[in-house]
Amino acid sequence: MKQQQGFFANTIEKISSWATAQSLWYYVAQSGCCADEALEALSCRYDLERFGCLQQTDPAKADLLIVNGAITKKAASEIRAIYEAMPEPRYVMAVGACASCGGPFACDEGDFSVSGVDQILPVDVYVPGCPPRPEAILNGLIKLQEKVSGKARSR
Amino acid sequence: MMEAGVWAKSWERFFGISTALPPPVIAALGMTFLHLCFVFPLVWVVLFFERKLGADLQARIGPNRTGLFGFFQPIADIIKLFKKRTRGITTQEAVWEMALIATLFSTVAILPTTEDLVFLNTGLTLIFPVLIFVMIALWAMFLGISRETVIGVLGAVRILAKATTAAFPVLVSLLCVGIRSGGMSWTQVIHVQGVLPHQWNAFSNPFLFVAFIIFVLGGLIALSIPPFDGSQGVSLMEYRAECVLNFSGTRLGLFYYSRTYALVMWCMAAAGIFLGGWNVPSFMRTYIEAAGVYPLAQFFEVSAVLVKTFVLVTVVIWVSRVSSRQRTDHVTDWVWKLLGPVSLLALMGTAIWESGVILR
Amino acid sequence: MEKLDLDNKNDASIEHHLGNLPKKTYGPFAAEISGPFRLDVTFDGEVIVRSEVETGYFHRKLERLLEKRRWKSILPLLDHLDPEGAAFTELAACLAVEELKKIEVPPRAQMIRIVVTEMTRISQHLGYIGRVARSVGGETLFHYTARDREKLLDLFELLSGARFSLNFIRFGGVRGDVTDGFIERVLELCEMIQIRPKEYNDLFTFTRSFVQRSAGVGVIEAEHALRDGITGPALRASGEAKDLRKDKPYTGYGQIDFDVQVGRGDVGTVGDAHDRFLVRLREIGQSVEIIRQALDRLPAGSFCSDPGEDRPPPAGEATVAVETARGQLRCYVKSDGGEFPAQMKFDSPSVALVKHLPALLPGQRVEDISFLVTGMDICISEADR
Repeated sequence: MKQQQGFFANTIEKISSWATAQSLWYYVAQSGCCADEALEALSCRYDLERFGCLQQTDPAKADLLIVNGAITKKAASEIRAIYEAMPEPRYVMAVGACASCGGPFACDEGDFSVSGVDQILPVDVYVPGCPPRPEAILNGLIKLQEKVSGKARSR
Repeated sequence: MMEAGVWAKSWERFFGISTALPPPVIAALGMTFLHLCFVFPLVWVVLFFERKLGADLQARIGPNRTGLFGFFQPIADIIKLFKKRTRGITTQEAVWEMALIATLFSTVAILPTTEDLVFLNTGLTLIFPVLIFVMIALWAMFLGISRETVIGVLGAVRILAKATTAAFPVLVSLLCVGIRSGGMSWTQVIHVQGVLPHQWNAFSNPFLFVAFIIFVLGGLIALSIPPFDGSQGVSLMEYRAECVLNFSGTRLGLFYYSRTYALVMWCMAAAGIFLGGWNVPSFMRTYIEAAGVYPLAQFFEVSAVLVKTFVLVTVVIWVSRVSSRQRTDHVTDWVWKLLGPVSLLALMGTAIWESGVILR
Repeated sequence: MEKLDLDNKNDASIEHHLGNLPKKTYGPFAAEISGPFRLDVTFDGEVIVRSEVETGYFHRKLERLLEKRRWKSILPLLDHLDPEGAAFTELAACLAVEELKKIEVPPRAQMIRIVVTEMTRISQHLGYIGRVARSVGGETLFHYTARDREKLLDLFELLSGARFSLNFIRFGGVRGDVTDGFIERVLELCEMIQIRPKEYNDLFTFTRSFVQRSAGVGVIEAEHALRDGITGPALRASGEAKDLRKDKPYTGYGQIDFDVQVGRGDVGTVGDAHDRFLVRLREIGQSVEIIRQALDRLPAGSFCSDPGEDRPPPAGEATVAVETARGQLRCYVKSDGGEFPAQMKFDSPSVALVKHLPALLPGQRVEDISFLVTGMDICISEADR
C-alpha cells in the first residue's frame, strides 16, 4: 500500500513522474542485429517520437539507454561507462534476445558474449525477439512509461 | 543613477505605474510580466509546433500522447529536465552559463510587442539584438573553453567564428533600415512602415528585401539556430550545440528553452524591423477608441506582431528540417564572401533609393 | 613551422609532436560511428592527423557456434552475420554446401534466389542512404528512405515471415515457391522504387550543402583500395569495375544483362564520398532491372532440388564468393562427412573497410568524422563475427 503523503506532495510526484514518462530521451547503444529494427522503430512508420522520445547523442542528456544486440565481455565496461554518464533518473531497455538473456550467443555456448545485459546494468524493460518487430519495441516503451508513471500492472 | 523616465515611459500611461518607483523595481516587474505573458506561452507554442511541423515534413506524426494532440510535450520535457539530478559544475562554467542566460533573456526588454508595452524604446534599440548575439557567442566560447576538453574548445571557436562573421552583414542591414526610418528606435522604424505588405520595409524596395534576408540569415547563423547549428550530430532531434555546452538536467532545460526563445526573439525583431511590426489598420484603432475598449487595440497590435513572427518561425523551421547541415567553415565562407559584399551593395542601393524618394 | 613528414615512420620527433596533440576516442558505443568499434583520433586544430581503429568489441564466436550445429540448423544462425543482408550470407553458405554435395539447383530456384538477393541489396542501399543523410543532418531523407524500405520489408514478411532474418534459402534451392501475388507485388514495388532516386536527388544528393561536404572529401584511390582489399561499391566508386556478378557469375547471373555502376567523379574527384553515395544510388536502379529480368525469365519447375534431403555433405572443402551490398563475401566450408560442419569461415567485406579507416581519415576535418565513417558502410557484425 502506498504510503499516504500529503496531497501536495502526491500531486507533485504524479506530475513529475508523468513528465518523465512522457519525455524519455534515449541513447541507443547499437551493437548487433536489433539495431536495424530499432532504427526502423524510430523511422516514420512506427515513429518512436509519438511518445515524446528524442534521440540523443550524448549520454549526459539521455534518460533511457536502449541496448540493442549482444554485448561482449570486451564491450561490457564501455557500456557500463555510458550508463554511469547518464544522470538519474535513468532507465535501461534491453532489446532483443541477445541483450535480454544472451540469445543464441549465450555464455555456455560461446564464451565471449555476456549472457544478458542485466549482468552489467540494471534493466527495466526486456523486449524479447530476434529481432523484435518495431511494434514490440514500442510496446516495451509503453510498458516502461507505465512503470515510470507508476501505473504498472506488473512488477 | 539613470533617470526613471527612460524605462517604460508608456507603461506609466498604460498600467498606471508611478515612475517614482526605483528603476530596478520597474525593470524587474516589467520583464517578469513580459516574460510570463508573452515569452513563455510563445516559446511553448513554438516548441510544440516545431516538433509537429518537423514530423509532418518527415511523413511522421510527432508527439501526440502528451495532452491533447501532444500540446503539453514541451511542458513534460522541461519538467523532466528540471527533475534530473545532475553533477555539479565548476565555478568557471557556472559563471559563463549565468552570463549566457542573463544576456539572452535581457532581450525581453526590447521585444516589439506594442507601442505601449515595449519596455525599452530608446534611439538605439535596434542595435541591441546584434550586440546581444555577439555577447552570447563570447560567453558560449568561454563556456566551451572552460570545459577544457578538446571538443569543447573546438566547438567554442566555431561558435565565435560564426557570430563574428555574421555580425557585420547584420549591422549593415540594420543601417539600411535606419536610412529609411531616420532612426533606430522601435517607434520610428515601425511608424515609417504601413499596414499593407508593400509598405513594409522588406517589400518597399528591393535593396531592403535583400537586407531583410541578410538580417534573418545572419541572426540564425550567429545564434546557432538550425539550420546552422553545427554539423556534428546524428540528427536534429538532439540538442548538441556543437558539443560545446555540456548541459544536462536543469541547465539543459534552460538551454532547450532559451534556444527556441532566441529563434522567437530574432523572428520577432525581424517582424518589427522589416515586416511592419505592430501596425494595424487605422480604422480599427479609431473604432476601438470610440468604443472606449482601449486595451483591445493593444491586443490587435500584439496579434499582428505574433502572426508575422509565427510565419517567419514556420519558414525557418521548414528550411531547417528539410536541409542538411553545412560544415562550419563552409558557413563562415559564404557569410564573408557573399553576405558581406551583398549587404554593402544593399546599403548603397538603399541610400540611393531613399534619397530619390526624399527628393521626389 | 616545417612540414611533418608523416610517411617517414622512423622519425622520433614525429611521435613526440603527435604526443602533444589533442586526442579523442570515439568509443565503442558512440553515436558518431556505427559501432561498436573504437576510433582514436589525433588532431591538430580541426584537421585529423592520425587515427587508429580497434575492433573486436562484437566478437561473438559465430563461426565456432556454427560448428556445433547440425547442417540444416546453421542457416538461421547465419542470418546474424550481417543482419541487414541475411540473404547474401545464406546464399554463400548454400552455394558452398551445394558444391560439396554436388547438387544442381533448379533454374526456377536460381531466379528466385536472384530476386531475393537483389531485394536485399536494395534494402541495404536504402538503409545506407538514410544513415548517411542522417549523419549530415538530413533527417528528412532518412525518414523517406525508411518509408520505402518498409514496403520492401513487408514483401519479405509476405515471403518468409520475417523482415530481416529471412531464413529462406536452403541447400538445393529455396524454402518455398513464390506465388503470383508475390510476383505482382514485387513488380509494383519495382515501379515505385525506380522513381525514388530522382526524389532523393532533388532533396539531397545534388544540393549545395551536401555536395560541398562530400565532393573531393575522403578520396580512396583505386590502387589503395585494391591494396587494402576493399571490394564492392566502395571499390567501384574509385573507378574499378569489379563486380562478381559479372566477373564470376553465380546462381544464374550469367543470363541477366546489367551494367556495372562505376564512380565517375561527377561532382568531385573519382572515389570521393559523393561517388560512394552515388554508386549505391545507381545500383538501386540497376537491381530493379535485374529483378524485372529475373521475374521475366522465371521458368516453371521445382523450387528446391531435394527438399527432404537430410544427408550431410561428403568430406571436402569448398570456397564460394558472392557479391553482397557491401562487397565480396567469401565462405569457406569444410566437411568431414559428419553431422556437424568441421569448419566454417567467412571473410566479409567490412573487414577491409574498417582496416582502411586509419588511412582514410588523416587530412579530413573533425566535423566530417561521422559522415565519413558512416559513408564507408561498415557493419561490425560481419567484421567481428
